Amino acid sequence: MTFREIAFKNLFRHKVRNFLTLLGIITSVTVLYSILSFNKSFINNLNEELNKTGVHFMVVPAGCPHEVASLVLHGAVIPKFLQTDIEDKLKEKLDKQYDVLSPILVFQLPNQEKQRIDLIYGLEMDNVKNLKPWWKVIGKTPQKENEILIGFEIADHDKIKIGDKYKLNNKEYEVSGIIEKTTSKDDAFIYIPLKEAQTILAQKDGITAIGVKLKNAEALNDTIDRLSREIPGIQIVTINQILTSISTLAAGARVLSLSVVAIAILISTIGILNVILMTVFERTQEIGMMRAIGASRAHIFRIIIEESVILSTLGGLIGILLALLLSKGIEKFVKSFMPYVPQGDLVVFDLKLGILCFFFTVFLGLIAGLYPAFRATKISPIEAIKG
Amino acid sequence: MTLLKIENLTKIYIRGAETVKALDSVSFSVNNGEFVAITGPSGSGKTTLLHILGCLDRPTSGEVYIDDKAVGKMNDKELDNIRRLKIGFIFQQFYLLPELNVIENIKLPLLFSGNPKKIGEEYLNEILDTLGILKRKNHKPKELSGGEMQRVAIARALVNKPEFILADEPTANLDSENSIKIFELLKRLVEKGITVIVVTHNNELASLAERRIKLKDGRIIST
Ligand SMILES: Nc1ncnc2c1ncn2[C@@H]1O[C@H](COP(=O)(O)OP(=O)(O)OP(=O)(O)O)[C@@H](O)[C@H]1O
Ligand SMILES: [Mg+2]
Repeated sequence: MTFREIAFKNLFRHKVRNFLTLLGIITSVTVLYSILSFNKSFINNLNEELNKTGVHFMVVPAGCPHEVASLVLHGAVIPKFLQTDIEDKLKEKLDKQYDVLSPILVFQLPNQEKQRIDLIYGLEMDNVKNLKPWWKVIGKTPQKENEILIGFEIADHDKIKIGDKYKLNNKEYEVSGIIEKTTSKDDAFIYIPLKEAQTILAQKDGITAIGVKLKNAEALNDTIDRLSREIPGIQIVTINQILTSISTLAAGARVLSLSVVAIAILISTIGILNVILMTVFERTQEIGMMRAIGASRAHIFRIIIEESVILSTLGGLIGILLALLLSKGIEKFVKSFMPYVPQGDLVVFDLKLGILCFFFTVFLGLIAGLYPAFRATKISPIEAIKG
Repeated sequence: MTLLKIENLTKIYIRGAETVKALDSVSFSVNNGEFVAITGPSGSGKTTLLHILGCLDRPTSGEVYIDDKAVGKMNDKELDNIRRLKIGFIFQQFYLLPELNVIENIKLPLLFSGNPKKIGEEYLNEILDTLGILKRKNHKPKELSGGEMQRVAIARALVNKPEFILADEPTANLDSENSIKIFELLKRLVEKGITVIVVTHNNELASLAERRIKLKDGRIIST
């Protein structure tokens, strides 16, 4: 028999009480681990995705809020169009010094038949491999003007197969390809040739944004300066700025959620302190007896602190396991709040982070146990065992 | 040979403005292998005396010598060691840990002492057998009768092979049949050479001991 066994067995004396405390710890750890892991993968995946994008900057209408402008790459619907001559002006000013110049038109389209609103992303299909190089298309990218590409979510929801028809504004299109699941907002869009999008919207030269890749990346800053000066009515957002502003958004959300977790952790730590202190008070006589039959103050201290360490160790372990088990659900939940979600799993198993969260929890248990354990050593055997 | 020598023991409790003289110049000696019953009316100082003999409390003045060593000069660590290895305590309330079974409860003092005398299963089974609780080895305290619980507590007091046993009203929670059984068990310990000092209200039980020390108002009125 060891001190740990005594402490462990004692926890069973108040099963409900200790179980509820444990539940508090588990919940806090689950949330803590999920948030930390989520944030880490979020930034990593975002970086990776934006780096893969084959454009250097996006040209959007001036006066568009910066955050929203940052999201156009990912299909944010903005209620403004670039002036019709911008594309030509841009081409003229860039004077062939570009590899990609890809206009896009993003808008919402009511779908009478399905009683919902479709999200339409119009682009020149040749540019798909530049804008979204990570896409895996089942079937093929549209070659004709009546062909369209469908995001995974829509295909999945409507049970659409390649070759099926899809009606937009009473015109039938043929689904030539379906994009494999990206777990990002891309999954919810319908991609159609730019010209068709402009026809549907009755905006002959309507464009939401233009993605540009320069021949010479080193000229980026100079080119942006020059374009901003020479073409009025535009705003230029670089991939770096997109990354920064999305990261800032995410960091804001992270600070908020971490402070909520911090409070949850504080409360569950006080919970541990409370139940351990209660057992110390309830066991005054027993502790006095143990002192009388030879336990030193250090022995008593150990028995008590072990109890809180066992609670926090269990809570930490189960909490992290639970976070991994529920990661899919948690991910879905959190993603529904995020303005921009990169593809890929966002709550992933990160050994280092798991170990860190675990030891942090055990450490808190240790802290929470200190005061009750100290109180227990102050119990005098005579007071406790008066005959 | 003298095991315990008590010299002029006085204990004064201060309760607010009031002072209580729980023990008043008590002196006596106990030899190895004696069976001593301490009796006296309620409030006469019996428990106070036992606590001081058990190194749980310190006297206001006077001295206790255990094996000719003055307890008053010992530090906390030495006192812990005396309690662990020389003394076995038996309490009126048994104080068994409810989540531990009989054998685990009995082994508890070994955990605190670090078992320097290398007590093994054989000796444990021997005391369990002597006390008639061998079959109860794996039971939890709540499954035992009062008499059985007290026998477990006696086994726990014996596990470190102490030189003497201190028992404060060990039979107060038991019926007369069980009380006599417990005293007979104590007597058998004495026959094996262990010194037993037991506090009791019960004159009939006290007469089972070889020697009787009567206290009244903190003083010895007969030894
Ligand atoms: N901690 C204390 N503070 C103040 N007075 C105390 C304290 N402990 C005991 N006393 C007093 O000392 C006297 C002796 O008490 P003690 O407990 O030794 O008596 P006792 O003989 O064991 O009595 P009982 O038979 O009722 O157990 C009593 O008057 C009691 O009120
Ligand atoms: Mg008493």
